[in-house]
Amino acid sequence: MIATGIIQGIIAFFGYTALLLLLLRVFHKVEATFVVLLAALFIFPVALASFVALAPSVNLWVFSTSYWFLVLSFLMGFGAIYKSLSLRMLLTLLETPTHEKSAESFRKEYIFGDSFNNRLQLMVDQGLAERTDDKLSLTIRGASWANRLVTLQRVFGIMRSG
Amino acid sequence: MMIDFSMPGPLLVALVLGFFLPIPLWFMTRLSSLRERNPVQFLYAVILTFGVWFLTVAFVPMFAAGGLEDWLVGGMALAGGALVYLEIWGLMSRGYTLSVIAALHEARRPLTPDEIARNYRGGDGLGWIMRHRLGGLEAAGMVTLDDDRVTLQAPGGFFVARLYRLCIQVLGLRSTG
Repeated sequence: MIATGIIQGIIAFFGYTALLLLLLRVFHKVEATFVVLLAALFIFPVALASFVALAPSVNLWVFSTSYWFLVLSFLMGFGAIYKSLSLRMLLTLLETPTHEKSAESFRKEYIFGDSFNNRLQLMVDQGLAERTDDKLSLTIRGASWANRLVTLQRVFGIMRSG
Repeated sequence: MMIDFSMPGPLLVALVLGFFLPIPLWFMTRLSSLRERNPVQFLYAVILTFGVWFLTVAFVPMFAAGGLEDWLVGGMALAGGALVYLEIWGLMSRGYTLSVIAALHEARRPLTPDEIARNYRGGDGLGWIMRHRLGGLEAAGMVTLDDDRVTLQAPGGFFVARLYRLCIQVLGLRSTG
């Protein structure tokens, strides 16, 4: 019965990835992070209801554990693909005819270019920071998040992040 | 036709230990030999937690596994918990956006984008992230650094870059990084 739960979790995960491949193409203007999370949350009850209707028995805990473990593993990989600067630099090198590039051009392009400005804009869009003239400052919400972050970093002895 | 709510013992132990993973992690951060080695601190905390889980399931009859499946499910639950905390830990110790927020927080006044870049990571500057990431790629044998030139290195660098490109194509992502 437990093995069945694991198999059901695996089947639901494959359903999730199939749906995701479709959704990421259809809703390519929507932030991909939302699409992958919402699809995972949508598939879980749909798959559970399907197995309850079709299978002789479903162990809730075994099915849930199997499905969410696979989804979490996928999300870790997805996060790396979607946001990793290191991987993006490797791809740029691959697509450059000589497979080499100056560190300075990387710095200008990724650190001081799109990547940095995208993150500043993201902070503004999420209400963590606000722009006044050319300057940015934290909103009350942003300051509250910063306080929590600094407290957690102190508790766990993380000297600096980045 | 029916939902079975019975929980295997190894899964119960894994859920409890996984939830409390920050406790061994906190102890690891107090060890002077692991100071500022955030990935190693996390790895050791996970190994310790898995060890406690294994010993509990193996030697406490109340939580004994009924078969291989029970071990598998418990292991998945514990690994899943570790992944959740790894994501949080990664954000706290390597988060780019969170570090920008921290730079603004430390300054306690509005900053221009250039000032944020200079104040990043307690004054290391935004260029630090470039040096850190390139240093990591060099240590992994994926690129070579020669003065200002960064060169993709075979076979590791080419393999990972091609795999990355394939993943982007399969997922249909338009923008990354």
